[in-house]
Amino acid sequence: MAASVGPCDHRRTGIGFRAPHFAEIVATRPAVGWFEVHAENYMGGGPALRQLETLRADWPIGLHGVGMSLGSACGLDAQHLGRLLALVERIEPTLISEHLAWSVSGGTYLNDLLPLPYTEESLAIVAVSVSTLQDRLRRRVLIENPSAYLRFVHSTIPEAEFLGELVHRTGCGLLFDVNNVYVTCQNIGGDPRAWIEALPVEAVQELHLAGHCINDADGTSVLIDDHGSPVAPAVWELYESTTHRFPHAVTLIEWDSNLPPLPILLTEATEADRRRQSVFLEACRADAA
Amino acid sequence: MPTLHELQARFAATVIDGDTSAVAGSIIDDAPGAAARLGIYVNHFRVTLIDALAATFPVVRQLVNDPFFQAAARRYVRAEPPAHPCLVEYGGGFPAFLERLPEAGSLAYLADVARLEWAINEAWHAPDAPMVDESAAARLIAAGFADPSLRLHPSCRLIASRFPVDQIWQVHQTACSERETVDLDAGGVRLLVHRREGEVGWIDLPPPDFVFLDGLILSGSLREALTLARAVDHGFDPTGVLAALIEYGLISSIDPVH
Repeated sequence: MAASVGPCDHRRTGIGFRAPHFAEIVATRPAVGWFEVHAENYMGGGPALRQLETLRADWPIGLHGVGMSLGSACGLDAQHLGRLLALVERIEPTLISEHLAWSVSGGTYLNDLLPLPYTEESLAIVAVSVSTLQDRLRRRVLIENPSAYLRFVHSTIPEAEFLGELVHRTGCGLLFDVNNVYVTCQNIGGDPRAWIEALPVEAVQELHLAGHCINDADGTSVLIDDHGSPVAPAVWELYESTTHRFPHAVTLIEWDSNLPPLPILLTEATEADRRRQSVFLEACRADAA
Repeated sequence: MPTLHELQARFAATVIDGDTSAVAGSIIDDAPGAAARLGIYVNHFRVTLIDALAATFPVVRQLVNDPFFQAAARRYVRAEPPAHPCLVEYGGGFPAFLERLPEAGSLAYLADVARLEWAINEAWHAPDAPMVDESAAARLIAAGFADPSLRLHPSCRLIASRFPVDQIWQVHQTACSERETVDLDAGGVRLLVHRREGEVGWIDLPPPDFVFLDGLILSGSLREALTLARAVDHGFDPTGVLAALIEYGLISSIDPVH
């Protein structure tokens, strides 16, 4: 198990790194397992890249792409792929991830992780893009399930099955976002626990946890995946089932909007460690009994 | 059933202009309805890009009021959505867009302040590059400015304005109550915005130096840059500005022949 996740595999939860926390991180050296950054924020140079290079000297770094648009019918942007490769070579991340989503059409980037219809056509397109990405980086890439706010009428493949088939066709890994699956199931229906059972265990190498908010749409509550608050109680519960099923996956706390002071993020990471530990102990006791 | 290519083209048009009718038929229409569900993506596109512009152009936002900024940014986002996936690279057309905006006509310096903020943003995120040392510069001068090719650091940007945009920017770095007034008739500036040791700053240049560097950035040729500068100032000597560039680490390469 350890070999498949590399140096990240010392269990401790990581946090999404945001520049306003840099000085405090360097000064206090918090006991956090690793840091993840959005790859697109480090494709230039200067102070941002310096900060990342400082962190990488002492912590494992995960590069989380948000702009590769693996689901675009037009295929991958060669220039963007080149920039990601350069960053990967410079930072040597322990994990690289991207999303099952699309963000570009006709040369316009929509700055979002947009939903795909799950069909044989889209599966073939995403599989080619994931293979191209992995071939270029010469690395296994983890693919993350997105938060959904709608379903397409012509989707024929359940999302978990779609991801499993992607693993089968490309050899990619999976980043299972616990909050996203909760948000998706609340918004468009489905059972998160059945969803978790449907994923190939070996492929899931990373888990994401984040907060969501509740908005009103047409008089109906919709959960919005805004990464702007603590992890919700229902998502913590789901996380426990998730760590039970994917014990070798490392965990990351994401928090992107309404960025809190660093100690709040560390508290969330500690809570993830505590819950994970108790699930393991429970499993050990069950084995012993 | 639309192909993925067709569906994405329609979806993109919906996200940009907010008209959900072209794609609503492809969305399962349970509560909330398809239009409301699509509206979440429409809203995200608009809000996150307006926020990105507000982060890149904080002084412009202070110079106008927030509702004006929001309205202008909203129109810009729709007219010129991003063409690249890196969010920090979005907004290069915003200064020219503000300049064309009739409602911004009373603030003649607004677009130039936006240009300065964009230059600061670009300088901040520009790639790293090597810098030539003083011995290389001495060789350049010893060679009698034959026709070497010079490349400035990728962070270098030139901003010319008939307003003191550097002072306008500076006074908006402090709280309103402590703000000094800027004399808009104090004269224009010609700024070399750059990044030095991780800090973005600028130098206000005399006109011939500015023309010289403008020529150098455009052509890379020292001889061409000299010709342009000497058209402005017949006796222009580049030694001073080149020495300053080297001291600041802003010359990335000198190649013997252009």
